[in-house]
Amino acid sequence: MTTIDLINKLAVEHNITTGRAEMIVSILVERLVEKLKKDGEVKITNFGTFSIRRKEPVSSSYMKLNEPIPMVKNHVTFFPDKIFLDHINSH
Amino acid sequence: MIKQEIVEKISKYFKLTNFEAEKIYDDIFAGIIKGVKEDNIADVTNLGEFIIKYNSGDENNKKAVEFLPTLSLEEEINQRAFEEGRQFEPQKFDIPETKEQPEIESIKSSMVDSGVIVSDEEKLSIEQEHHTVEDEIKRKREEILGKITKPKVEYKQEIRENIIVPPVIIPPVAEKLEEVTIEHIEAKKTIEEVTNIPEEIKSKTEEFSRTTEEVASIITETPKDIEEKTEQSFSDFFTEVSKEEQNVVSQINSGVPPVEPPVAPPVETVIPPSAVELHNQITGDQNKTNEYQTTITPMPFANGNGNGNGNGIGENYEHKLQDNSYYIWYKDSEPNTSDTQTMSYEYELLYQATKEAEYKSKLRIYVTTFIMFFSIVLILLIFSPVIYKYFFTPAEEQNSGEVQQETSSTEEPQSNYTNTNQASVNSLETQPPVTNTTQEQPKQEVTPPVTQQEQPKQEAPKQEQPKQEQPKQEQPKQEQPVQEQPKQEAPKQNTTQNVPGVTKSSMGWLDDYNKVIYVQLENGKFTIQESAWDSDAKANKRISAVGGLIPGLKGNVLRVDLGSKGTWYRARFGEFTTIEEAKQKAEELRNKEKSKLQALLLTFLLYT
Repeated sequence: MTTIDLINKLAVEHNITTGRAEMIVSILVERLVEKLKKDGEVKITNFGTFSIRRKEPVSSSYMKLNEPIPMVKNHVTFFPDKIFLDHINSH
Repeated sequence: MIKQEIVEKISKYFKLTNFEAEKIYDDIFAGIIKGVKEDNIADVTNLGEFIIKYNSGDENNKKAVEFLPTLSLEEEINQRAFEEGRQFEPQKFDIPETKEQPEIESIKSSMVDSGVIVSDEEKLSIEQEHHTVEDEIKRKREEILGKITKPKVEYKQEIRENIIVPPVIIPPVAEKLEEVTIEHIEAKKTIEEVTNIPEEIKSKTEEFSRTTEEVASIITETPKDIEEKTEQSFSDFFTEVSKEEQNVVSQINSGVPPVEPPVAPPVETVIPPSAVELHNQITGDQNKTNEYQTTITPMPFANGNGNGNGNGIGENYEHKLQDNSYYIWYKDSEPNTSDTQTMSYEYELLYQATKEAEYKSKLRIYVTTFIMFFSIVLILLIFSPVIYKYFFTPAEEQNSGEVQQETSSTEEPQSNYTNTNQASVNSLETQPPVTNTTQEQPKQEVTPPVTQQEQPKQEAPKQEQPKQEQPKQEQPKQEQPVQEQPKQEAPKQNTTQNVPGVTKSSMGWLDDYNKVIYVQLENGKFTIQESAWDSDAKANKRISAVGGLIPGLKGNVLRVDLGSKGTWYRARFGEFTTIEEAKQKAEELRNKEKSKLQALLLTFLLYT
């Protein structure tokens, strides 16, 4: 399933144009990312929790200076809600 | 919380009720869950992919969900981390220790013990606790700039500021011993007046003053001076030496003590914030970013203290410029912890250098292309007549060559015939027989009778003289052809005499300017022989081309066999009563050809 399928589905179910549905989805994603950036964690009921996990800095070198520069890289993780998991595992 | 915010936003933007917006919100996530269940994957743009992962061990939760964020999301998150890293806490700075002479150390320690003076280290530690990093940066900058711009004058003032209320005792410098002692006495007086100092302290200060005077006679440098000297670079030493030399020279020359030149005010920001930002962007380092700002300390003099790496490498990286700014020449390839402050300068310089190089290369390319294009245009314009000559009218050259050959071949008769028509007729007879086409054949056929008629005309008077007695009835018969003579000759004589730029040749009248020949036909009219070609097809093509240029101008082809020179096809155009008319037409033809060529050149240039 892709975003287009989701948009089409929303448009059909709620009797709105695909453009509007696309806008709604984009607003949701944008807001979610903003919140994640701001708080470091976003919890969505019955769906799951997005959180940022910090990785250990990896030393690197820049250009010809041979100076070790720690490169920090964060990672976004998702922990699905129990309802989500139950729904997937149900037959 | 987030649900409420999003629902409000959706309802506000799309004019929906809160219930509807909430339903849409729920349906989006329900759709994702359904999609994951059905297709095992749900791809959400700008967020990531939800993929089902199978756990072999756990039977109840056989399927798990894994989230793979998109690159854009990862980048945004890392950007946040980078920004977070910039908010750091200040750290204590390592102050470079300087080697002092034991005597000075002992004096200093005694002064500290007695409570007379507060040591610099203590003050620094107090300041570090209270000051923020920004203040520290400012202070360091000022120190550097003070060192660069005001080497000696300000130190005196600093010493005054650093001393706290009780008596100020600083071992005087030998050069400024008198000034310091005067100040010292004045300070003592004021302190005595203002504060009530116990007698013990007074006695101690007197003792100290004596000891310091004694020591000052031995030691000529204060600890401050030593510190400063250790911090000085080679360039500073050189400048000092040069200044001293200048002073000596000026004293010798004028006898007036030299006045130091006015020093420009120090620049507030040594490193522009844009450069620091750029550096941060390049490195992506949040831990060290502020070190570049905070460690703007004067580089310790590389004299084997561990900072320099010996062999002269890593030394002399500070170079003072004329505008009181300085750049750092970093030529050390090995990592050096003390060189952190030079990095930002170097990055800035690197950035500037790369930008300048890019700009220069671009400019060079533009200039070269413009020059090349301009030169090509100039060359084309200069050589346009030559190009026209060799590429657009090759046959005319042949034609002119042919004409010259023909004229050269008929030079002998040309000298003989001069003004008579007989000569021209002879020259026409000398030409090889023309075997083709329309007008030349009758010319040959017609001309002989003319000559036959002319011959008796000349001889006629001779014959008539003896025959004066002949009957008068015959006279009008003989006179009739005589009357016809001027009718035929008149146009020829008029045309040849009046038309400028036209010379007579064996073939007709040569127009050098227009590169054509005007040939007289049997009927007395003139035609333009524009060109001659080695094949009939070429000649016909030329006629059609000229017909396109000047509509209504009819042309024909005349085949001429010149024996050893081959067979030529002459392209002739129109019939004109006078040479002037023919010449006008020829000029019109050439002008149109030129304009056409110019238009072609222009279009070519525009395309290039």
